[in-house]
Amino acid sequence: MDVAGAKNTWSSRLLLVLSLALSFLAPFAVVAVVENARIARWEKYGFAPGDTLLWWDNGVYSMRSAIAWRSKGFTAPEIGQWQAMDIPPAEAREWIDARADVAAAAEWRRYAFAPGKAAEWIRFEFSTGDAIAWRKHGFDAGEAAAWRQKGMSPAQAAKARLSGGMP
Amino acid sequence: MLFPVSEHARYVLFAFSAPLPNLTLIQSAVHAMLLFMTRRHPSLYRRTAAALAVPVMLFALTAAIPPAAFAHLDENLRGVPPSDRAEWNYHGISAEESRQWIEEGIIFAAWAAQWKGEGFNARSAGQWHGIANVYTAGKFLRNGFSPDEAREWMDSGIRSGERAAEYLAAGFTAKEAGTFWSRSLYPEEAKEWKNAGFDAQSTLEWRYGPRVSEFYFTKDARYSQEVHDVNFAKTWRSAGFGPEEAHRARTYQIKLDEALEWKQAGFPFREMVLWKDSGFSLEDAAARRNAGLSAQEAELRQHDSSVREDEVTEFFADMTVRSDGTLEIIEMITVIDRPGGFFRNGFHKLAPAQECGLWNSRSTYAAAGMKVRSVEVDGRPAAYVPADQGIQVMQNGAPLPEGEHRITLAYTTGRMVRDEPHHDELCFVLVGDLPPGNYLRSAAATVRLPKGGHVIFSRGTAGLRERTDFLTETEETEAGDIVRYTVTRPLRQDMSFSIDLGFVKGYARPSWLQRLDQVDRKTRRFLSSLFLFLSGLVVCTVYYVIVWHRVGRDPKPRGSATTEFSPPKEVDPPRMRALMARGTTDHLSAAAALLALANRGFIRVLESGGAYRIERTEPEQAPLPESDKEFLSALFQERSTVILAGRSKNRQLAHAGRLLKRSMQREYRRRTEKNTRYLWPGVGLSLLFLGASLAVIDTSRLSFHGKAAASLVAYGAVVAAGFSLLSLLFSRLLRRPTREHVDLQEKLRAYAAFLKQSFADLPGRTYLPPFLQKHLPYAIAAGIAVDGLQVRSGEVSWYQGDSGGFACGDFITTIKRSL
Repeated sequence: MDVAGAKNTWSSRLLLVLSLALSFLAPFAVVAVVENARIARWEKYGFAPGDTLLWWDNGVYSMRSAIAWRSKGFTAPEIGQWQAMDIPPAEAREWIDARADVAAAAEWRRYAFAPGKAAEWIRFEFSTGDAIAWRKHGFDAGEAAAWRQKGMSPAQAAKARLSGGMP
Repeated sequence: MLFPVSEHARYVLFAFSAPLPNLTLIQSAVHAMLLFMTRRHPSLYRRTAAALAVPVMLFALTAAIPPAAFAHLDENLRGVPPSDRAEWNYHGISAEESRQWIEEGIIFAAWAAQWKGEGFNARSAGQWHGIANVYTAGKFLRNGFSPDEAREWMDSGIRSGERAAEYLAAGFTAKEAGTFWSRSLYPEEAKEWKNAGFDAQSTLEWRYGPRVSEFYFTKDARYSQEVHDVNFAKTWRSAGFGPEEAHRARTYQIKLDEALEWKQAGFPFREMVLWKDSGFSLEDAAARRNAGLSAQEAELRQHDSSVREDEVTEFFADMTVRSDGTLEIIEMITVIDRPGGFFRNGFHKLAPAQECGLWNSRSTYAAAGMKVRSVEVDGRPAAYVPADQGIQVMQNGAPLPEGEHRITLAYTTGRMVRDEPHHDELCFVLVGDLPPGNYLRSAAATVRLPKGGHVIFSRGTAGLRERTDFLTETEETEAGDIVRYTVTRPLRQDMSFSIDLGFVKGYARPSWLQRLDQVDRKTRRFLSSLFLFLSGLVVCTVYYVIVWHRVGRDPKPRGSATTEFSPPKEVDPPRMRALMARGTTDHLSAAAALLALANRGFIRVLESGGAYRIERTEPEQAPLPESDKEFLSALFQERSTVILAGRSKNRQLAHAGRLLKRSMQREYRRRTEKNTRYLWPGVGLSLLFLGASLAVIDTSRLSFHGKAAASLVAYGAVVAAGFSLLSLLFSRLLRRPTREHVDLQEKLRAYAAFLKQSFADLPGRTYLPPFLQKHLPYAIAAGIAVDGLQVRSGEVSWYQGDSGGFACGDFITTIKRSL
């Protein structure tokens, strides 16, 4: 048995207190320094400190990504769902221009409709399912609308077109 | 200071609300538990706590850094008080001025300083800061825009002051400029097109053509890369052609004059292409059209009336896309094999290929393989044999005889469906570019897609390059979509038929093996090549290891326990060093050789002022071995004395040293077995795998210039270097000492052990006892440290000097520098 050790436990206690203090101070200092440096860097690209924190809060930690979103007219709080659906900034802007929300965009996208094309189908009041059916026969939205107005199904319209018919 | 002081207080608050306090609590609990467990052994506790401190701190450090740490402050930044007085002062802003900034909503001193730096005062900054950030605003201001104008330009999508100024200078309004900019047309080129009368949309259409694939491209992925200049667009447009016709004309290599001539003769662009493709001049085409024929009918009539070649009168392919992306194909081909025609050795079929026209460049991948399930000729089962890149249909053990045959071929392919970002795509060449003398009267195909895989587009090519002389028809069934392709013209030399069918993603999923195969094909079988290379290395290594185990290992020493007090006969010091250290010959060998010669009376060493003078003496001893003779004569070849000052290389000694090295290496090799006969099979295997790994790379349609060639050569060099290094390594490992060599080594080791023990007994810096003087060269050869030893002047006949004795370390250093 170590008799000398039993007499003096203060060094152990001091070590405990120091390690507890350091476990707080060290990460705190690193976080503060890194954060300040990053905010200063973002500021050079026109992000006010508050904006920077807002972008981070919305899950955008890369400045390049934030610039891409900002260049397409998005603010930090607007991008959450678009990001969740993995839709890039330029395409998100196109969907918004096409008056589609994230859910609609995801649905049209699932069936490989580009925003511009989807906008046309939406304009002619086609549902996604109808648009799929008409598209597979090679119709664009305008043509499909014209044939539909004549009361034809996609297959009938395709046959009619093949035999030289016009909508 | 990046932030006002008050914000640091928030960091502290944040830190206490973050996981850190929890960690601290956990730490406290751990320490309490430790104290309890080690209450009888405080020193054990102290050691454990110290050991835990660093990892716990590291853990705390990593746990506290995650991005979530940044996310707690945003709300706190709203409504924060303005910077304090000291900070405004720090940025050189007076109390009065700071009030103006704060009134304009710019509450932080550092922020105000930025606006000032960009040339704004508090009032103008107040007008701009709601429109743009400080730097953007600064650029617009410097380019002469007012806040309202800047807002208009930014609303039209141009957020750079410089860019807006460029468009303005080129004569654009903000709105016009916005339409060009949104299509990535820069001011200079936009001006050129605008002046030629094109708006933004038509500029795009004429300059780039239609989007290559609108089904998954967005503005992130631009239009096709083929770019047409404004003059081209102007001339074709003024001749009455649309952008699509103009671009097709360029692709089909049709000149404007020619297109115009046909147009004036009443042939629309598409019809002109059909007649031209069928081989008719304008006059012929006009005459036949007047006779009521279409281009296709006219061509068939002409073909039937000319010399008859071999022809396929009907080609039909029924293709089913399986859920894993592989294809099941039944081809029905009616062929007329005429004497001397294309099918000289009977009918043969090429293996299918995958070809996709994407990103405006046609990418072709290696054939996906073809597994034939059945072959029928004229309704009866037939055989086939593999032929050049395909199969040869056989009947009664011989190629198909001439005549008319109906062949039904059922086969499967590897995965032919490409994974694209937003859709799956089947790209398949049904009929490759037809060679001369081949004619296909009619071709059609049916593609059955898996259920749920709705058709997105049905494209392809039929006819000459980039032509689309086919019709498609889509049918929806319970089992999935069916697309029917019908080629609308006969196919002849240089014509082809391929399909390119897009469908909804996720219904033809590949297995991981198929994915690997697809990557392999995309990389022109590079993965296969790499696999062969690595397998080759493994196989060769295994072979070499087995062979080394059998014949390459050194014979074991016999384990004689005898102590040797003298070197074996005819083994001089350099030879001893070479035999003990795998042929090593260095400065120690040379020093040992010189001292051995001195001991035997062949040379004398005279020392004066730190320089050594080596003199040859008349030999009174027994004749020297051949290698020593060579060394000695090389040393004194030019002069009878050699002076070693130790400051630079001595030519005579260096020459003698090289000869000694060569001689020792010869000696070492003489006492080893090369085992070359076991090396050759390994080299053969290496060459085999080297050849295979290079041969497997698909080089078809690959340009052997530029990067492709350089990459291939570099890869080939790496593969060759890999196998060469392996063979080189084992050529050394397979060499093993002879039994005689090992026995000799054993004796030498015993002698070296005696030397080591004898010299180890001497203190660090002393005179060498006379009884060890004759062993000195061998001790040096054995690598024993003799640096501190000296031979007293007068104790040996071969040394004279003015420093009181022969210093071994100094002599060895001098030899090292002189070699």
